[in-house]
Amino acid sequence: MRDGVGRLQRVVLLGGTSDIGLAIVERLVRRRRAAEVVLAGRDADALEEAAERLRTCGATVGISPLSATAAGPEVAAAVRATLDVRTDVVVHAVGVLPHDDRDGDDPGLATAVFDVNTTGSGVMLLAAARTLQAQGHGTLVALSSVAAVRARPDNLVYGAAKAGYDALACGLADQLRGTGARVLVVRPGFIHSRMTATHDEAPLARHPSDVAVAVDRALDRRDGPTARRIVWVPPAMAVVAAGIRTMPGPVLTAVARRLEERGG
Amino acid sequence: MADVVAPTMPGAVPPGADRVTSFGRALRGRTTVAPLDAGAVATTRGITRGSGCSYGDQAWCSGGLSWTAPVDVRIGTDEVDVGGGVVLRDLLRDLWPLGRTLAVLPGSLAVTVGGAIAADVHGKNHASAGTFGHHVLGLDLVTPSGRRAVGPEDEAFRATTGGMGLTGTIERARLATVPLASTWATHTTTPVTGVTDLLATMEAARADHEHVAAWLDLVAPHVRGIVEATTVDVDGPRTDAMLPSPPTVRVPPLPTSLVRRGSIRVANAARFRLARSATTRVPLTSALFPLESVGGFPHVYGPTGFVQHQVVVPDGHDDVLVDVVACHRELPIVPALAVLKWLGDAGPGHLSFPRRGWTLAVDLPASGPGLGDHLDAIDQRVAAVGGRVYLAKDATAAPGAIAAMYPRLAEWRRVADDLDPDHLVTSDLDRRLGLRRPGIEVADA
Ligand SMILES: Cc1cc2nc3c(=O)[nH]c(=O)nc-3n(C[C@H](O)[C@H](O)[C@H](O)COP(=O)(O)OP(=O)(O)OC[C@H]3O[C@@H](n4cnc5c(N)ncnc54)[C@H](O)[C@@H]3O)c2cc1C
Ligand SMILES: NC(=O)c1ccc[n+]([C@@H]2O[C@H](COP(=O)([O-])OP(=O)(O)OC[C@H]3O[C@@H](n4cnc5c(N)ncnc54)[C@H](OP(=O)(O)O)[C@@H]3O)[C@@H](O)[C@H]2O)c1
Repeated sequence: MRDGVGRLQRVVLLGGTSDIGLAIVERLVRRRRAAEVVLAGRDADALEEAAERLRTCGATVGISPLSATAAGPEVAAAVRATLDVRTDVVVHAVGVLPHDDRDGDDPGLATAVFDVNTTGSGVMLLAAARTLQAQGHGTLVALSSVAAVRARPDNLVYGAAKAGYDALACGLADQLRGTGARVLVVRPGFIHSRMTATHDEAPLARHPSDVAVAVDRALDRRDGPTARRIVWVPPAMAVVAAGIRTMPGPVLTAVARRLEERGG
Repeated sequence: MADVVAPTMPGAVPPGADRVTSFGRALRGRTTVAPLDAGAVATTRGITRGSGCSYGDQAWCSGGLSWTAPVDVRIGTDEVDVGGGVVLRDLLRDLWPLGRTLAVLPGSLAVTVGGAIAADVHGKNHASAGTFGHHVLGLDLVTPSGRRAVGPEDEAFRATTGGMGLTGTIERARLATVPLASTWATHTTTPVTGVTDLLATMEAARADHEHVAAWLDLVAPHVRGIVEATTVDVDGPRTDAMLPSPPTVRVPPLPTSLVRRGSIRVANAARFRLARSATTRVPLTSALFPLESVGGFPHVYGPTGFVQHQVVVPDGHDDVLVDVVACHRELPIVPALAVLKWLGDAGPGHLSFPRRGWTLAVDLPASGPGLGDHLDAIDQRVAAVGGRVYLAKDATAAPGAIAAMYPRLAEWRRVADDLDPDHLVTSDLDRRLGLRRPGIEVADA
């Protein structure tokens, strides 16, 4: 339960080994006295390692199994098993970014990306949102991406998969208005993390801690008609995204190629 | 995807429920406010809601129901039989013309009878009159396990007075009334500088006044304050025109806070300078309920609202009180309003707040998480000497801190569990502090 000065009681991270997710949770533990944390994921050893780090910040940490590629009902049940009525924040940070899906030519890879980023993650969002809605409070932080704005030629499948995810998250944000629960859709640009370690840095690159600060700040404002539901990291990404969204196709392709050449 | 549906949760309510806030507006919730329904109490998750004058999340259940109690009044010669939802102001407007009143009244008359019992409230005359619960003759309690008549000797009574609504709904209460000779009072004000002198002046005032409290200026270079002592006149007159009445002036919602260190410093200085050492005859209402004249005053704190931190420091630990005052003075935000009172013996409830000692209540703008860490430090200091935070005011306590402050918590839990084995009666406060159930709750799925 959130207290009178915005401190939190219980935080759940779906994708419990995510660099971005853990940066967010660590900030909530340190700054908002979030005393109870659940890390849900598929790699027990890595989860335990992350849990140990959070324990040194003063939290009680539990771990819970969660796989994005299990059958839908199982995924939903696994999410619900991590929640109880006191949960203030659920961070959803599950996702995969293929190293090279430039042409979307690898059907196996494309399926895997859609399975994790759209299907599995979508079921997780739905399950978490419904539970928060029923309990009448809490924030679901959905890690979307600036890539969701438009499936660019350089990340075709990832962008398309994240677009589906983003649409669902935004729809849930609208749907939950007035229920006491809310959804915060976070759209980072390039963030230095395990996911992007083998990728070339893009312009306006930031660190997981920057996402954490932005999410934390958005939690300062309570829900209401004027509360923000979309968080860009960095904020300038909002402008970049508007550009990307409206850019004529040939220009976009040319820009993507230029960036690639520069990076390579 | 048939499985992804709302979990079946006892007490699940449709979205679009009612908006509720704490008195200081710092906490907000969504719940369905509905008249008490004894049948539904047995199957639905919820808590009772009075006037919402508590300063935290005491009086709602997010995602559940928030029951309101009946409001009818039956007046006897030396007692009243009233619905739990009756507002004290309305009750006094019936009683005063008959020359009767209640022995214990909190600083706000907007409070309901149920809320006054559930918090086992105290007045400025606690040392002589005890708590509200001391004057309750009996209760009708609606719990998930049924309706029961509860008397002062019952365990359920001790669990309910001060039990923050968590044993069920007080549907009705029988309250003892006491004579009221006059609607006038003799009121003595004494401006004092320095904590030690303030405490000494209050102690002296206690000897010959029923009601004693001090307003403190915590932002001046040296702590100072005004000791206010009041005694109800014994020889009339009783003026019906001086009945308690609802506020005539209301502060509207403001886009920003007017409470800044500078503005409080100026206001406090003016108040202190204008105060004279004097004894005057004043209307009882203005002496005992000074906050009653202006409605909506929480709005001066702007959209983020404020919290109130109230602790009792047990007798014999004045050094700790001095430390607590110092902590408030060092806060990064302004301690806007501070009131000091003396409490006498403990109340009848397992979780009654009072115990012999000083109680300090401070209104603080809800500036952000950092404030909470300062308040945690104060709570620890106070708990270390057997003091406690007032649950009716709490908005920030650490869940783990409560058991040490309320040594009868385990006993209370046992009685509450008997009345409500499935833990259907719950509030956001209950969940936040783990009052009924320590630690992890079972998921609702
Ligand atoms: C300006 C101001 C001055 C105050 N001064 C004092 C003071 O001098 N001394 C003092 O002790 N307190 C004081 N208070 C605190 C106040 O008396 C308590 O918070 C009281 O509980 C509020 O009653 P309410 O009817 O508004 O109840 P709410 O705030 O609606 O509810 C408070 C609690 O009571 C429970 N409750 C309410 N009705 C019932 C019922 N029928 N059955 C069971 N449980 C019920 C609720 O579940 C909740 O836990 C003051 C508050 C304000 C705003
Ligand atoms: N980094 C960026 O530049 C960036 C930018 C925008 C948006 N995002 C989004 O932010 C989120 C977090 O990314 P990150 O940078 O923190 O990456 P990360 O460290 O690689 O985290 C990704 C997480 O997803 C989990 N995951 C992957 N496949 C899974 C599966 N099948 N089942 C269960 N869990 C699975 C991973 O668990 P394992 O440890 O078990 O693999 C890991 O916890 C992702 O949704 C990502 O798309 C990232």
